Amino acid sequence: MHVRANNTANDQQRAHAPDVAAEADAALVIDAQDVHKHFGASPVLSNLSLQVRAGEIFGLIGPSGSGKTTTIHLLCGHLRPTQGTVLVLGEEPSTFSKAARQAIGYMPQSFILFPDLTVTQNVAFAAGLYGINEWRNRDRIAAVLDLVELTPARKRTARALSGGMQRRLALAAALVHDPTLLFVDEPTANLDPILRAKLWTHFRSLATRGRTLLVTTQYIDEAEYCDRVGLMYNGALIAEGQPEALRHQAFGGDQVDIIVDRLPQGGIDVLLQVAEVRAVEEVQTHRLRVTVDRAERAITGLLDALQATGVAVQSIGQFRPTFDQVFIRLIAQQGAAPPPVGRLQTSDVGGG
Amino acid sequence: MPGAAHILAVTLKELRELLHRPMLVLTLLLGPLSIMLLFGLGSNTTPAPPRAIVVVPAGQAEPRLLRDYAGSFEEALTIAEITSDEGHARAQLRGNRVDAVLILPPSPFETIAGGAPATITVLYNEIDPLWRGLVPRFVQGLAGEINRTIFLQNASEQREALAGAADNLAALLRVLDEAQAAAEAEDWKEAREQVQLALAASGQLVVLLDELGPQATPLREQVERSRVRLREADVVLEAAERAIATPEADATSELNLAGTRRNLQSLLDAIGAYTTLPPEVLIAPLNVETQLIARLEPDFITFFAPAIMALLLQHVAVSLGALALVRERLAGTFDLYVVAPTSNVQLLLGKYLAYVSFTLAIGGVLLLVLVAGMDVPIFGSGWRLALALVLVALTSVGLGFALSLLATSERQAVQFSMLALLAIVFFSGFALPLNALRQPALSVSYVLPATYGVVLFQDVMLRGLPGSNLFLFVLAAGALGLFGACLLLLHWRTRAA
Repeated sequence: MHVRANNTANDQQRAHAPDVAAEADAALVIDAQDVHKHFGASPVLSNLSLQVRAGEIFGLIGPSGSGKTTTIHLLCGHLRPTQGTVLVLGEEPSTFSKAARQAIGYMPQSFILFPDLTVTQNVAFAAGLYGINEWRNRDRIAAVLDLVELTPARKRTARALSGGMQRRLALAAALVHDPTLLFVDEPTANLDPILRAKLWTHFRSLATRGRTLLVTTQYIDEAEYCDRVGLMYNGALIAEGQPEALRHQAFGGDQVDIIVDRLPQGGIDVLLQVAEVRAVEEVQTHRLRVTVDRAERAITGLLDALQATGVAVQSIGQFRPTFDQVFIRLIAQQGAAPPPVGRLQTSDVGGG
Repeated sequence: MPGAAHILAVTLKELRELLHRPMLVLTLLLGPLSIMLLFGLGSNTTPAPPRAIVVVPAGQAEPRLLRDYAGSFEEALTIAEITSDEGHARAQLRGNRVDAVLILPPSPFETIAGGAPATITVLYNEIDPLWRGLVPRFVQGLAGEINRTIFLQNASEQREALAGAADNLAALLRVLDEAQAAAEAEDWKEAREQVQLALAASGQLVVLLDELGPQATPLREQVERSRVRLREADVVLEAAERAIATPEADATSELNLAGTRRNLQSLLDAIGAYTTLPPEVLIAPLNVETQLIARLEPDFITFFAPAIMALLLQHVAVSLGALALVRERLAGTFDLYVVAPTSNVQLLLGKYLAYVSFTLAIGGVLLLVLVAGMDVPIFGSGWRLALALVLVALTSVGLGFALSLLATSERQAVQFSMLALLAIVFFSGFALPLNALRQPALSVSYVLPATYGVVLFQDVMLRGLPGSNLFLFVLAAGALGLFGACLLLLHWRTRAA
């Protein structure tokens, strides 16, 4: 018998997540209520409501075209909602005060800095937009370049940087004025797995220092890095919560995988008698997937029940469905068609 | 200054970007400059004489008109061929292988001697409206030159003939004096003989004046009036002689020989004055003398150098300005500006500062090249020139920014700046002087900063004038207006949709 434990980096990430009580106490940084956005007659966002509190990483996750970037543009003041209200730092984004602007950092989806300028010059310009004199604040510029590991490339033009380095440069430009709220649109798109992991580590360190981040990504499994996640599909927020809670919500509980040498008649019924068990599914021959309230509590009961019927258990352990599976399940629960192949991206970094 | 760091950041960014793209700036600057220099050096503003075929009358290989006035023909035309085949000449003209065909009359001098003008027929085949007047101008010049030569020749001959007439007139006066003396001595017979002699002499004078042609008609009429008086005197003397009686005491007054003499004397004086004048004065009594009072008689390059500077300044500023905002807008950089605490005024001021400084730096280099390298003078005030440069740069950059904010793509921005370049070539007074333009073209001219630049730079540099205050004011007002327009457009482009 083999009991599997999924003790990966995902668990470490989750360990950083603030508990619900602390979350409730933190100040509301973003508050969007019943937001609709139409471009002409075409609706691009429907009935979006979300709240983000200070110090958390909120991941807005969904396939391309789901409305993530539109949401960021609404929150940054590039767009106005057709209907509903948006408050960021207590202000309406299209009329942000100077103080609010000073507190916000924005890293757009594509590289919009200046290819002919050097890395340092680009960051210096971004600093200047926030009133930071580049000569009096050389240390700050150097520090932010250190943070994104671009110091060795500081004299290279942005044109000469790789895609990943350009992302880090954009991040440095968004961070140079030390914002308290950071909007980051698709920071990991087309980056290699190692770099993605590094970026998420940066984001986590910022959150640890009390910064609030709203990060969009089409890599569904990057939800694992977030404190809370909003899943977007076809312009609607179909689910929102902590990653584990969403997983739980998608499958109606935790999942436990059991491999047995044989499954006697009525074996599934025996399992269904166990407290905590909600459903049992034979996913392969001699392989069962059991949905339970809490996996860690249910495993012993399941083991006992099977042994009592004389079934030899080869392995038992919690199965953590990938966020792709979570996402597809949640979409199905909404009664919507799943996204076509290609719109849903899976990274190689995220857990499970 | 509040916001200075924001403005400075934008200015530095723009300048750094410009310095990182030297090829773009060089292309913008050297491209039009070298084309214009090449045009200036390679073009000839004095039109060449038209190439012509001369059609001579059949059987006359080298007619007298062509032979006697060969110099005039060669000066006015480039004679490609002399032929008697008019059909061939016309075919060559239709094929645009020559500019004109001159058909000479069969016997021009005989025609003129007969009192009628001789006509050279000129055919030409030019469709270019600018050059359509060239052949008529050159052949009119040729006709004028030949006529002048003929006039000059005739005037000399007439002068000699009139000198002979004056001699006859002097003799006539002497005869009249003798007739007068005889009458006073009451020798009626002698007096009558002398009057008849005078009549005969005046008759010869009339014949002589007739030979001088129509130009001598006034002289002839004066002689005719004297002959009438002489005939009257002859009648009186005949009556006196026939009566052989004592004539009345004051017969001489009835004869009126003294009046006739005065009449003929004035005629002699007039002929004397006429014959003492040189023939050149006779054929062209009124001359025109022109004097250039400009401080400089510039060559082609020197005259156009300030205009080229105005044109290049506008072109560089508009082209760079046109690309400056559209690229950032389309790339999404404006999204950064919207989020950042940098206002549109600060953003625009920063960009203005960068592009105006850069344009002025280019203007300074151009000015240095013109003054130090090409000896183009600055007769007027350096401060006024600097003011004009700043205002042209400001309005041009503003125009570029406005086009950039209106453009929907980089390609369209480039098209706009090319259109602006075409507009300044045609309408700024660079290729055609402003007074050669009519409305509505003139309105386009006065929309272009380069138009004001061309006039102001030429006035200050080449004429030593202070430059029109009105033009400076219009440029300043235009710069302010464009700044306001750019601000509105920027607000429109960055507003939340």
